[in-house]
Amino acid sequence: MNQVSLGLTTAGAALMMISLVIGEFATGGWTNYPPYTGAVFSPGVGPDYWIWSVVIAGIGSLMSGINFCVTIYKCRAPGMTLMRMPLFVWTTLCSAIMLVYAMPPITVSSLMLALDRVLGFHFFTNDLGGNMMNYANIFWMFGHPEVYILVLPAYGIWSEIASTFSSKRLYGYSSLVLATMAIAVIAFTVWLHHFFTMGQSASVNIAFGIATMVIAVPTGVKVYDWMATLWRGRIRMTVPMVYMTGFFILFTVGGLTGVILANPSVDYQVHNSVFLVAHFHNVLIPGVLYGVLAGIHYWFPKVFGFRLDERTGRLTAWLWVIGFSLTFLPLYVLGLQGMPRRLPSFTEAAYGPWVTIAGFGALVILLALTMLFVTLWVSIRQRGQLSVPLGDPWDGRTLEWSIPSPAPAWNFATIPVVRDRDDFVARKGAGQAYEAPARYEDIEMPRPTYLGLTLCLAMTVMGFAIVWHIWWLALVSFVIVPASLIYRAFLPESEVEAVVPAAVVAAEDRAWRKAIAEARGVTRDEEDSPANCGLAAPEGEPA
Amino acid sequence: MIRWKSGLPFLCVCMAGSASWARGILSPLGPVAEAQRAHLITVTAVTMVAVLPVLIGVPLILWRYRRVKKGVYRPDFEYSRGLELAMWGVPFVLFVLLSILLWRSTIALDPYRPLGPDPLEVQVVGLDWKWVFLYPEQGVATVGTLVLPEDRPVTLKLTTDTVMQSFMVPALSGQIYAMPGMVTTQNLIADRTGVAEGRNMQFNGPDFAQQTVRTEVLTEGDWTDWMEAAASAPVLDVTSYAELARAGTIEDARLQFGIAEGPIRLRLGAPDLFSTIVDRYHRGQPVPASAQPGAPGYQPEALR
Amino acid sequence: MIHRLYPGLNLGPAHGDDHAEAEPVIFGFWVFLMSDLITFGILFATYATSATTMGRAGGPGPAELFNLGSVALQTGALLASSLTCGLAALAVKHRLGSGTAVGWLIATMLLGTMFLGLELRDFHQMIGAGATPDRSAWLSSYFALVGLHGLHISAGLIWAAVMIGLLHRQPEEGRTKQRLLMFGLYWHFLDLIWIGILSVVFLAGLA
Repeated sequence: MNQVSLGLTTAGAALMMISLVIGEFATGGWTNYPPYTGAVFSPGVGPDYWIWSVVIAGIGSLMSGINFCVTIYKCRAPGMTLMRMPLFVWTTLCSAIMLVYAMPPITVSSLMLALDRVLGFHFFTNDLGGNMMNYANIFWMFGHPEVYILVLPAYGIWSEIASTFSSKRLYGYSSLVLATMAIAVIAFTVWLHHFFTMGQSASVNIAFGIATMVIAVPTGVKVYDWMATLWRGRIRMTVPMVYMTGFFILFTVGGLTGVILANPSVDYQVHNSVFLVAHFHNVLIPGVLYGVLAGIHYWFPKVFGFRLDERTGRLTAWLWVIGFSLTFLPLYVLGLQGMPRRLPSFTEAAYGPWVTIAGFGALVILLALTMLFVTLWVSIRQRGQLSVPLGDPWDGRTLEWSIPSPAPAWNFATIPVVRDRDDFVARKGAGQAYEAPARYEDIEMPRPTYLGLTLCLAMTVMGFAIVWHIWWLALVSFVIVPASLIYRAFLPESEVEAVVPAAVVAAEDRAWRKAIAEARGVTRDEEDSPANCGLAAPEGEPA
Repeated sequence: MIRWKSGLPFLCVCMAGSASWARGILSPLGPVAEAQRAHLITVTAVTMVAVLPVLIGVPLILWRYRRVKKGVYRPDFEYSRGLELAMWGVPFVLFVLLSILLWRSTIALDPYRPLGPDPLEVQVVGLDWKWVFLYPEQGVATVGTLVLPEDRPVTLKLTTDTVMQSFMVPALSGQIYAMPGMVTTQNLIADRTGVAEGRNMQFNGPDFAQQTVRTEVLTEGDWTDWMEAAASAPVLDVTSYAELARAGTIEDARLQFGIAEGPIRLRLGAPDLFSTIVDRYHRGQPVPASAQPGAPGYQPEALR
Repeated sequence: MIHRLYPGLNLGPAHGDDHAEAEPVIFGFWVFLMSDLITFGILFATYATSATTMGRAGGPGPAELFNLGSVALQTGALLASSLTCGLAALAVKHRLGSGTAVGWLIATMLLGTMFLGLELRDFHQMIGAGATPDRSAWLSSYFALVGLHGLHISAGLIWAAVMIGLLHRQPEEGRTKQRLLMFGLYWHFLDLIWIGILSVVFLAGLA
């Protein structure tokens, strides 16, 4: 199912790329508001590419959401109660729940637009009772939760990073969980703030304005919780922490402008302006993008077995922070000057200097992006020195650091019993971090399958065929989807699942434990040196 | 994209805070925009109570508890009742305060709320890519220019005859959407004479950038003279409207009416033009692309 | 593994591991159905906003178009099919033999086909009377809502046919039983949606 959802997301992205290469994509902006995107005003294929990319990728996201919900609710290790889960898991769970409820609106609104365009329906047309305001409502019932779907997992990453790199327990775990849940719920009640200016009554605007502002409370609590986590810690300015510093400062500015925008009377002025553009980049780049980049630096050794280079990584992080500030902070001024978004040219002299600064900032971001690839390249070349096969390069706190890096296909050789929130720290403290299990068992694993790839190709072709009204091809590629699912249903169980014998697991696990026993634990002073093979000497003890 | 380069020499001047960068809401021409600016400042100030601790505290903490300093280290510190109360309590109190402010300002600045007796009604029609203003009482129409009297309440009735647009003159009031087949309202008042820029804020195609509104506030007397001068101007009736409605810029409108420079001032030949435009979408019959202004397939003959 | 078994549709302890393994899968399917419910919810909301004079745009309305007799028959067929579908699940749960289950599934398919046939006949008559989906916003949302339900029913019929094949080929596999439970949930869910359509579209439309 994971594979299928990735396949569908890829298909959506592929469709969008195809349109960029061979012709036109939608010009309706990311919201694709009709009637501009209806058949009367946009007879070309641009909006169709948009619609089918979004629909196909949306189904993939929905499936991911369901998958994460089920895994987190039903497939936890013994002892892993909900309130012992790492915060990243909590935020992922909330994100997944939101996906389940937020994806249908965008799928439906896009398909309704498709019906308008292809079959002449009248959902959002100007004539015969169509009403484009319905589109705005349905779209934003997805669109607003969507930004929290993006940012919640990043909140989880920040929580893990704050506690790991200050060698401290996470402050205010319950508050953070509560705040996450609060945000996930309230996010569904604020969609109308994307169109305070549509002419509805003041009382409607007040209700949604206040609902919007209340989100700032749990979000603020989260930021304070992370600050308290750092307080009286042993903070190491690693790459993820550089990103986190940028996040703290810039995200707070984004929060401030969010509160400003929640006021309908101010929103009347800055709606549709670059002030708004600055605001959402201000929360999404420091909030989500920095979070993802920090998370990549943090978990990269777990996935690939070697750390990323710190020196180039830190430079990249600073470039991101500077580039962002130069690019987007001037947009606040431009927005107050009344500059609309998506403006292709202008004659106002007052915009000049600010646009120049922003343009320069964009170059810095380009440099940061380049440095990101340089970091990857440098790290891959030096992967021998950076390798951490023993699995724990950061003196980690949660159980993923208690297994080898890269993680074996079965992850845990034996399922651990969880006793503590920072279970790995507790085990290290008790000297039980690497106790060999009493016995190994066979592990059942799914077999590799072509299902995801098949569906990815089928859906890409289907999307393309519908865009160009090649109906027979669309039908054929659509039929492949149920056909391959039915084919898979009839496969015997042995073709779907494979068993890894206990002996194989035991041999690999024992070899790793032997290496652990022979290795020297490194202190945090040597974290960034070739001596760090992934066995940590706990912080707070004399080196 | 090129023209802004002429602004480059002003860089230093502008940074020093000269008047030229104070545009729109930053230099209001009327009480609505003034109140909006004041509200913006109040909200920013109140929110600072929650924001400043982060902006100041984070650098301090990062410095004070950096690892090499070997400062106080409390690895198991994870809860403090007092701190929890402050973390939830202070933002909550701010939220309540801001909500009250929000409530009051939203009602006070509701665009539908009349700003005084005897308002001047101006009907606004959004086309691709120009705004048409109809003054039914005065029998005047303008394209791309909004001329208002000083100190008299104004009620704008807005619609479009194409895609959705968003009308705003930031120095006077905020924006409001204009949508085909529907009428929205914007009340505003100008309390000093002057000139301000307005525009469509919602992207609607290639010449979106050109869809501006030059807004002039005149004294009552000047305004009356201005309106009376339209008596000898070209006429805007159903036929010339059908031609004007074709997708095009203000410059195209100049060509159509033969007005080379100055405001495009017209005599309104069809007093109920506005309601005709709105009602056309509610006749229970399809509006094909040929009869849809702004659409690529639009034929002016189909509209007449 | 934590197994908190939900009450209601399940296999019962007589099925050993299959019983426990069904839990996450069935739970996931519930989650999917909740998501699908949102999909229908939005179409219901769109229908409600367009069921106005403006939404009908001078076109024909419920009074001229709806045939309550046919709708009543459809409702009866669908409700009865839910009963037979439930009996198929019980046949598997109590190990009455795959033949019994297949029999009930065939009955479910027959009733489902009957429902679909009647619905298509109604659509045909409406379109014949000039009530096409491109006539007005109200008709667009009518065809989208009722049509989507009909598409779900069609998919369910294909699924039922696949289940018959699976019951025939691998009746004792845990996966087959899981799929039957999911099919049951799906089919009952469509019943629920239909009751919504009956009330909001047909009964309220003629009230």
